[in-house]
Amino acid sequence: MNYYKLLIILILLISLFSALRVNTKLVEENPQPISDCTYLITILEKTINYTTTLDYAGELVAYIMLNTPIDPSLQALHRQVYKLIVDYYIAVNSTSISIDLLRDIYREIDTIVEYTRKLQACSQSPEVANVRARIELKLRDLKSRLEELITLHSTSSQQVSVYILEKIYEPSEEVYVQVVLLNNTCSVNTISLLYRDIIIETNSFNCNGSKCIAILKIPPANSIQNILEAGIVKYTIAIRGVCSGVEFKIYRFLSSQYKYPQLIIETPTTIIRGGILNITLYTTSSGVLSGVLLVKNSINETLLANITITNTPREYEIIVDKPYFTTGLNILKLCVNATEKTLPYCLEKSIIVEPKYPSVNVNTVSTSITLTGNIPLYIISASEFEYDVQVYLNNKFIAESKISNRGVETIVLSSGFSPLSIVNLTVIIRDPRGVLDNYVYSTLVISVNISTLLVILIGGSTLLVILREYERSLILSLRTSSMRVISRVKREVSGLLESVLKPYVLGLGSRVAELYYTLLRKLGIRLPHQYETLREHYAEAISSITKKNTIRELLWRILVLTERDLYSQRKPRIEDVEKLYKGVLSESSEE
Amino acid sequence: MRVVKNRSLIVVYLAVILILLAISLIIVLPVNSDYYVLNSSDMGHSELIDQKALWITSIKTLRELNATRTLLIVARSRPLDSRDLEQIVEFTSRGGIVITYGFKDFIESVLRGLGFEVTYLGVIRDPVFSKNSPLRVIVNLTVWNITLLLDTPYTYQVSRYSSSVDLLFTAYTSMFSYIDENVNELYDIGEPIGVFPVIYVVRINSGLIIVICARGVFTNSVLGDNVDWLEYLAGGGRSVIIDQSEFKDNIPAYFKLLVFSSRGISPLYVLLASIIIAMVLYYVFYRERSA
Repeated sequence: MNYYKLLIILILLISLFSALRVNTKLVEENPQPISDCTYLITILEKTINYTTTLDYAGELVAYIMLNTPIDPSLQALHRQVYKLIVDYYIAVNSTSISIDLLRDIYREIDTIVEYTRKLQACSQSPEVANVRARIELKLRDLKSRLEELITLHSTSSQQVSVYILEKIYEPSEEVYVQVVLLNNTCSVNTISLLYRDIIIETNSFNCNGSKCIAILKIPPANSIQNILEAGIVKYTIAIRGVCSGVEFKIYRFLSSQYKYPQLIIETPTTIIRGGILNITLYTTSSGVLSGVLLVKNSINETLLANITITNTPREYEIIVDKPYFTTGLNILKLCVNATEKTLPYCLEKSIIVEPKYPSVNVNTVSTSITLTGNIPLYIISASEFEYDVQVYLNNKFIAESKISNRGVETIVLSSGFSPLSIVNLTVIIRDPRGVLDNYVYSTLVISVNISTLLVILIGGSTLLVILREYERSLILSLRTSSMRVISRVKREVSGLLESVLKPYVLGLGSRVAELYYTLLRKLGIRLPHQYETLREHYAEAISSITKKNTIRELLWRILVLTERDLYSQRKPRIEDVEKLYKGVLSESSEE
Repeated sequence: MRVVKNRSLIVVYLAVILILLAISLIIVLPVNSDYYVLNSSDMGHSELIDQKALWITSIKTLRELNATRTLLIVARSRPLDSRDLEQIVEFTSRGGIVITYGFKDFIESVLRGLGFEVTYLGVIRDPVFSKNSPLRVIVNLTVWNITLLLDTPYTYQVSRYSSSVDLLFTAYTSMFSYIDENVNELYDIGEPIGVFPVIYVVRINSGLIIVICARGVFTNSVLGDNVDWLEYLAGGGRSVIIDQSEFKDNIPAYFKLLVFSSRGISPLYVLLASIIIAMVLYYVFYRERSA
């Protein structure tokens, strides 16, 4: 009871102090960099739209985005792109346009394309492809505008005129550049062909009077194959000269188209293992192309042949054997090297290889009842080749053999000593040449071992007969020992119960004791202490305090009845006790 | 051997202690309702109370307040009924300043009550002009030359204003914000991107109602960033009062509002706690000795 009271006090105190701590402050988080690529590409499109129309809002957006943190993997490129846009605004808003700055911007404009490509890759929205296409279209406009600006601001129209035939040049084609010097203090020194920052060719002019001519050659495809993709490529021509002792640079732009070769592979879409695959290769492009023919599948990529392709179709015969071809999907890959006119290119075509198994027939019985528990296995070969045979019982390798050409092989397998067993029999037949696919035969076989069965039956019967003689004494001994255990358990449980229930047996909640205590309280007599018996209490507290003999006697009789109610099996009647109780009260009132 | 002394007395004691304990628990257990002044989570107003703000539990109390010296904050999760709105408008017309924010249904009821025809467009996210999260959006209040941080702002398309509305000023989000229409926390192609109106300042006679379309303005989540504006508005000796009449239906919340005062635990609570402790001590020690 005391513990219970303390617990209540504790709860109340904890509650009181918790009330004082209701107001607590939360810690703030750190800012998050933008990683939503769809959002970033949309903002980029808005900025590019503003930029192409030279809207002032574009400059503001670019400035803000330049300092906005984004996902670390894109941050560097992001900053590069918005720095470029800011530079563009600076360049075009300047009173004296810097050709070098314009050229830098022109060179770097492809980083925006690269940024959009990366943003599309990290965006989950398929509609971003359209946004990217729109941005690239706008960037082409921006590039043209830059070319115009560079051309415009790099020409001294009063002093020098430059003439170049405007067309889309072929790779390796020569470009004639004519410069007319309008001022006799002017001269031209060199002419260079540039791709971004790379100087591809530098040449000098041949002058005849005021007319100077230089010839440049568009780079062949095989010389710049690693830096270009197919399509229109913009080259810059830079002309250096001097007018009145002051150096000048004039820029012009050239377009050249690079293409991939047109390759054609003709081959059946399906082929059976071991067969011959006829592949016809040719090109519709001009020239001779050299390259390789490969096959790739889920396992590896293997070279099949070195090839030469021309306009004339040429047929190659490939044996579809292992390990080059796997069963199922295989991809033929034709790769050709770059030529003067065409870029390197690979073309793929898929073929399905259907399996071909050795011509063998595997047989066994579904139920095998033998004296030794053996399972017979019959393998009949109709092929002229020799095959390897591997046998597994319950996935455990147990036998290996060879089956000769057009022969019959009988293998006897042992299922073990178990009288009845169900085994999983698997037979794998392999072609040692590696041409044909593995033939797998798998079945469940019930095997009965008669010998073991008989031994168990005889042994069991004998044991039964021997034990029968001792049956009675065995059962008796079992019963005796079990009774002993049960009685001990019963005794222990009852002892345990007795100790647990002792307080209840000894009168917890005795109505007689309760009446006796009530009576004591009403008479103003102190209650017995924990260390006192009722009789000690009577001698100590009652006999000395109560003067009237009748009350003492009545109380003594109630005490005796209380003791009987608490400890004796002969419980008193409650009516008798109540009668005595009332007697004490009436005597007390008279006193 | 001891026998139970007086069972009826023990039962009475236990019952009293349990009742007092239940009351104590109601007081002690937290109420995490949004905009509640004793809620210390992000959407609570406990930090505003630390800024010496007071609260009222009935909107009728506004009649007794001196409007010219009061700044009223009404933040709710449920729509406002017309009677409450009338009281607020009447308070504003007497020269009061009222700032409203909360759930979209509440703000919609305020805007419609003020004569706006509105259509809800969606939650705004701003990945660039935001703090900590794109949902905590920075808005420039040029009229006060100050920036506010709005927690989970949203926007409406206002199709028509009532001729009686004197709209002084509208504040917009930055050009980098967008409406997250499908609430997937990401931008999707086609979602509107640009500036969106989020704050309307309406004048009624000599008072102002500032309607902020956001879940939080002076809530614990963003109070630190907006406290300057609050101090500016309350600068002319105005008291900051928070309307808590929404919690009348919430018995534990309302009871706590009665027990707690703006300056901490009320004397009523201290008295109650003292009675509980006194009773327990009396039972444990005094009765024990008398037995």
